[in-house]
Amino acid sequence: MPMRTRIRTRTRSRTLLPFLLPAIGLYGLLMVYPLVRSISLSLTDSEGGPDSDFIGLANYREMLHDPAVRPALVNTLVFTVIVVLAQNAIGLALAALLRRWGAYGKALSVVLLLPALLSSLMASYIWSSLYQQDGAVNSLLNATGLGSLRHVWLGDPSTALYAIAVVHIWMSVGFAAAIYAAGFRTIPEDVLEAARLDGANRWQVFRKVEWPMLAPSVTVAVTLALFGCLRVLELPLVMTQGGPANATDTLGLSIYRTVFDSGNIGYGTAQSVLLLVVVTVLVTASNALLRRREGRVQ
Amino acid sequence: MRHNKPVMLACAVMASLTLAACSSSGGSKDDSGKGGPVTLKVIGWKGGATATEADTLKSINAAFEAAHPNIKIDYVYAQGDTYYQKLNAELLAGHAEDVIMTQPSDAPRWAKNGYLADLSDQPWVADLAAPVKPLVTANGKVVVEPNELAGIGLYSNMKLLKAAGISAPPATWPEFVADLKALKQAGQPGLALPDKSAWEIYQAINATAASTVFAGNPNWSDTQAAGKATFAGDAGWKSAMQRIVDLGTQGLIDYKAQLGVDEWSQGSQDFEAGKSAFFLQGSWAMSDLSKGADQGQVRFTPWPGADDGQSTASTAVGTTWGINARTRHKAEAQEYLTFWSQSAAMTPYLTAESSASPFRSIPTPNVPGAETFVSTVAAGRFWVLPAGGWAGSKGQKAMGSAVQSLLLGQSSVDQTLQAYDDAARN
Repeated sequence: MPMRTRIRTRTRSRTLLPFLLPAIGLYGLLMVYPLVRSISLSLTDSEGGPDSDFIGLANYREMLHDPAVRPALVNTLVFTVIVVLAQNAIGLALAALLRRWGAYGKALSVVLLLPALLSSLMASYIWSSLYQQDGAVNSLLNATGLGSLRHVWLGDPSTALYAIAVVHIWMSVGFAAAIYAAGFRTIPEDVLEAARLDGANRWQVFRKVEWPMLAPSVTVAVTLALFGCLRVLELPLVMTQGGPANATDTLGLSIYRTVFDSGNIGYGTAQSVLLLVVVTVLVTASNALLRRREGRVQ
Repeated sequence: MRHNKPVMLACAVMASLTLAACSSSGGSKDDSGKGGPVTLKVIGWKGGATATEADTLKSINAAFEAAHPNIKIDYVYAQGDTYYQKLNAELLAGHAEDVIMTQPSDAPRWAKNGYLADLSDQPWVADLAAPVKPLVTANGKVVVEPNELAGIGLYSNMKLLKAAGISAPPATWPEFVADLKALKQAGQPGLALPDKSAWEIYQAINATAASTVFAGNPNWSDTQAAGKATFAGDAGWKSAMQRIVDLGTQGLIDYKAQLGVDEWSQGSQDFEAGKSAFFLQGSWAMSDLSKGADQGQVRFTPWPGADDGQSTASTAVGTTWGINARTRHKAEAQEYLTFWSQSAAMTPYLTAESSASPFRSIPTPNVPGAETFVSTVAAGRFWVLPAGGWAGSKGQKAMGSAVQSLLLGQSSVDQTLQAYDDAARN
């Protein structure tokens, strides 16, 4: 690089740095400091008071033997897999359908987003009522001749987690559909036209042209879904309190209970560090795989 | 020179951000001035859930203000789970309210963290009933003032019972089972034990153990804490748990259906609506449960855990008042607690909560429908749920979940009692 260019670049960097400092400062204050503080708290026996003792990795050792933590982790992962797959599959299918309906499709896409506008707490209370033994779900099954499928949806450990997953999917599928709809709009029409002229049917056009070109949308939708699902708290808190028999207990709920019910801040932050590690590993891994896929198809 | 402008601008932004972050907020401000009224901030989770609660707290606070013209009460109601989120954050930040409602299970932890003032020298301490004092004490100091000795017992809808030919609530376990069978035969609704929060059925077992364990061994919890007794090794606990399980195997209750119902909202509403003839809840619910469609037909009695004779009532120290150790109005807060130890506050509160008095000089008011519970406590046939130890919040959650597994057929009584011992150790 010529000398004059190097000098100009260094000067420009020095000029920009003061403008970056406030953002760096805020990031440090709001993101880095809480993270470092949490990790240091997880190494203590803090119960929220001003005094606490350093206990090293004792909280992490306790987590290994805590009979509540492993089921919570497993439930969180199962919930995440179900919701991410279903939310994206249904969202993609809806986006593909709505795309063909023109103006009606656009109006319907707004309707699909309405559940996402509800707070999780509100949705939890609404669906808790719908799932009751004499609630709307069982009543609908009765009315449609499917009375044999009536169930205690939230009281049965074999259905409770899936019942909560349905609520999360209902709330977020519109958002996924919006991401995929935007992705569909980026596909050049002439590419699709060329495929159709070559004799590709509807499914072949989707599989060979649209699906590969939706790779960036898939990355965004899956990554956002992963973030939301791994941290799930409000739905099991309100709908089942983690029961029955820990069947819907999640890491987020376990952390909440440990910190706010038991007041065990040190142990609660250790669990939150575990959750952070799980989220980081899974999101990084999925992002890397999906980005690699993006590179391959493009 | 021209590069100084961006630097100066950035410095100005950083300085203003730093000043904004460092500005003090919150903290109780001393508004007493010279001779002016003091505003005492009081926070509690009672006083908003039902009309009765709200009216009772308002009238007690108004009576306090009338008796203390220089003190104004600013009562903050925070409901359920949000209560602890709000209060824990305020306590950590050092600007919680002057007087805070606590549960006995929180008092030792908060006292250890330095949040609660020492109340050992207060005039009402000497008047505490003997079984209550240990539950309001932490490290040898009295740290909270009890407001009630709440019962956890059986609600009976007499209208439904009479329709099945039953004239009185059951006093023993064999009577209870016979009544449930009679209700089933008469096509009437039976027992509800909604258990979404894993509280109700856990308490039903405790209430049964009040008769099968604590009636003959009132110090069992101390023995257990000393490592000389276990749940798994106690025939009384095994009997209590087995009885609850047997209700399900005899077809007298559908536990799977109960696990999906919230005991704090839907369960109470269902009982009020006449969808169950029997229901377990705390005495605090009496005022509202007795106002339902079957008004005047509701009875609150000790849970019928005994084989014969009379059952032992299960009670718990419910709400308590603590004083924020950092309050600037300590004298006024102490006056508030002293007022609460007198009949002007206790009588209306105990009436609204249908609870027994924690003070020896304050009689338990007679609440229509709860006469049997009151007379049982007055006769000394009651057991108080420990505030900590095996009955602490973490243990309670683990035990409640273990009971749910038992009732879903995922474990046995012996395994569940072993789980109780594991939970008590942790």
